[in-house]
Amino acid sequence: MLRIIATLHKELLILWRDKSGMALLFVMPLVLIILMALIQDAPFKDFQNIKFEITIVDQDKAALSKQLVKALQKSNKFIVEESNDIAQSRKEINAGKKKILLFIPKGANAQMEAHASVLVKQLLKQLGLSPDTASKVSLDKLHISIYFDPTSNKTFKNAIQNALNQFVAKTETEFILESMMQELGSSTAAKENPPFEDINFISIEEVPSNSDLTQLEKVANSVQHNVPAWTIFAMFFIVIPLGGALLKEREDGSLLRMKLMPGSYFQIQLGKVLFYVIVCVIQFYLMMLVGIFLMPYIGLSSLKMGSSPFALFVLVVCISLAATTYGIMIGSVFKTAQQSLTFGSISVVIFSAIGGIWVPIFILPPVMQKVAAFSPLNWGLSGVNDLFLRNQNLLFILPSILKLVVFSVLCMLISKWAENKNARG
Amino acid sequence: MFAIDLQNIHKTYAGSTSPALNGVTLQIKENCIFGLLGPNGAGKSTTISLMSGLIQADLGEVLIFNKNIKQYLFDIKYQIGIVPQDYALFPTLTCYENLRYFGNLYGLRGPSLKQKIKDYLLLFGLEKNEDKMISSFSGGMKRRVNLIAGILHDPKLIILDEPTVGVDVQSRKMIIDFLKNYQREKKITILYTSHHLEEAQEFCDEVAIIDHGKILIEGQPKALIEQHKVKNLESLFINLTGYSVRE
Repeated sequence: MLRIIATLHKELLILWRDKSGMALLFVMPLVLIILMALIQDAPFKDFQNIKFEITIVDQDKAALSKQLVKALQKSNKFIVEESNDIAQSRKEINAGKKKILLFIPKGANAQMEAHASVLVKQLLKQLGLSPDTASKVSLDKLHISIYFDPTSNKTFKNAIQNALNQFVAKTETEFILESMMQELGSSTAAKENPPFEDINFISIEEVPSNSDLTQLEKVANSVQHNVPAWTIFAMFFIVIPLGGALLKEREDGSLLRMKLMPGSYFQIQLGKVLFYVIVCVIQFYLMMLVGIFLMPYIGLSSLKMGSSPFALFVLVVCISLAATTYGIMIGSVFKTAQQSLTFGSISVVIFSAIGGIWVPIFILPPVMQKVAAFSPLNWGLSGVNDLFLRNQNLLFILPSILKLVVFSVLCMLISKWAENKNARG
Repeated sequence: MFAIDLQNIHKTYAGSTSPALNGVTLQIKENCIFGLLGPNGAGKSTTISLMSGLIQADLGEVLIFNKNIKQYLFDIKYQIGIVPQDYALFPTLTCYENLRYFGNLYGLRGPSLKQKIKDYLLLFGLEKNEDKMISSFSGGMKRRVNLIAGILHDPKLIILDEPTVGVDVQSRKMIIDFLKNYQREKKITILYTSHHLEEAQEFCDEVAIIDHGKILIEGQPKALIEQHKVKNLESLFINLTGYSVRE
């Protein structure tokens, strides 16, 4: 026990005096979580919360375009700006000054009315409610053009196009209904007071799968993703000071001295692992405090941490253990500080990229989602998400915990193998 | 009883075609200062690594105080104090913190450890520097701390791997004088390797010269010089190992 405590104390003194190491462990994650939460705040917001600026060039100036503009404004999703100059507007779109441009050509309203009228007449004829006067007429399709800033991505374009299609379909339906009422000779009163106010009588609304979630008002927003994600990333960056310290010990001979001393070297290594696990745990909870208390001051939402503090603690210890043993493995396998620094940092960046740290897993393509299953950072983050967002318990996150523990054991076995190999020369 | 008894030791490192040790047999008596001398790559470090249990022989037996190192490594480690060639200290810890840590690893603690450290620091003229970082120490000061770290637990056998390399004359004299007195007082065994043959001639009761993994000669320095009719140990060393520069 004395050897473990002595090693803990020794590591504390060494880290305390290593200012750059301390900055890497505590300042780097702080900067990372604040920056990433701010940068990713907008993409994480629901489309319902975002208003898109849209420019409409209306050459028709009739009921159709007015109805469309009215519907767009009413939706609260768009800030509508009207323009008369299509050429100028297209130039502005190409220059990136405007994001979305909608062009309604001249005669659109008349074309829509004609289309609706023909459609209704054919329908009534088939129902036997109209004299056999209407013949099959082929009408040209009405084209409303949409232009995007060339830098817009496909997802954004699809989302906007889907939203606009909805409005157009609704307007078209209203035209058809109006035409039908005219054909049936409805009174003016009926026109003014239609029998139904809203033609969209079917709507799909999201119901939270877990009632507790409603109480906690939890959502996968930028803070909920970025604070734990980048904290786990920073925890794994312990490979840099830890791997470096191990190599330094090997180079200056102190590792050799420790191995030559009576008693098991395992106890010394255990002391080292324990110390860095404690550092990682402190690192995690400090960053969570930043998420809870600091984020609201910079205009972001406060972090919600679920209702299983014990499960979270167990998970955090396992993530810390995985990060620490990975650092020990790197310090044992590589022979120079340069190799260990390069491999350590690049491997953590790769693990984080495939593990859903940069962007949530569900955004990744299917192949990458399968690859993510091999990242220890992903196991940690999945566990945290299960606790924070799904409000689950220790039993539920057991697979994540087991993966992290197995990974830690593997790292220690590889370290042991590498140390034996080095000792044999 | 021998402090160290190596019996027909063979050792070849993985990937190497030539053996590092090729049938080394060496017996070192208790209560003496023994010098293991040889050019670079002769097999000195491999011999020390075997004696300290860091590596195992392919063939042959290593006995320390009559105990097989394979079976009794744990007990034997408490009886050996190793002073490696590297400084093997933590540069960002103070002199006292380094020694306290190594003392703790030996199982020492409390006021007795503190007093022991203070006594040694006084003996080596380091008492005013106990709270200074090792990184601020000169090579000679580091060597002295390195030596203290290896003997804090009062070992019966001290293995010194070039303990005076890279230090000034004063520090070297202090270290050698200390070791002589320490050995006499505590009646311990010292195994010492060095390239300073003049120092070895003066310091050691017995020496062995090793090259290409084989013991070439062993005995008391004075007797060896007389027997081979050479001026000093260095001449004998050159006669036996040649002039070619080693890797």
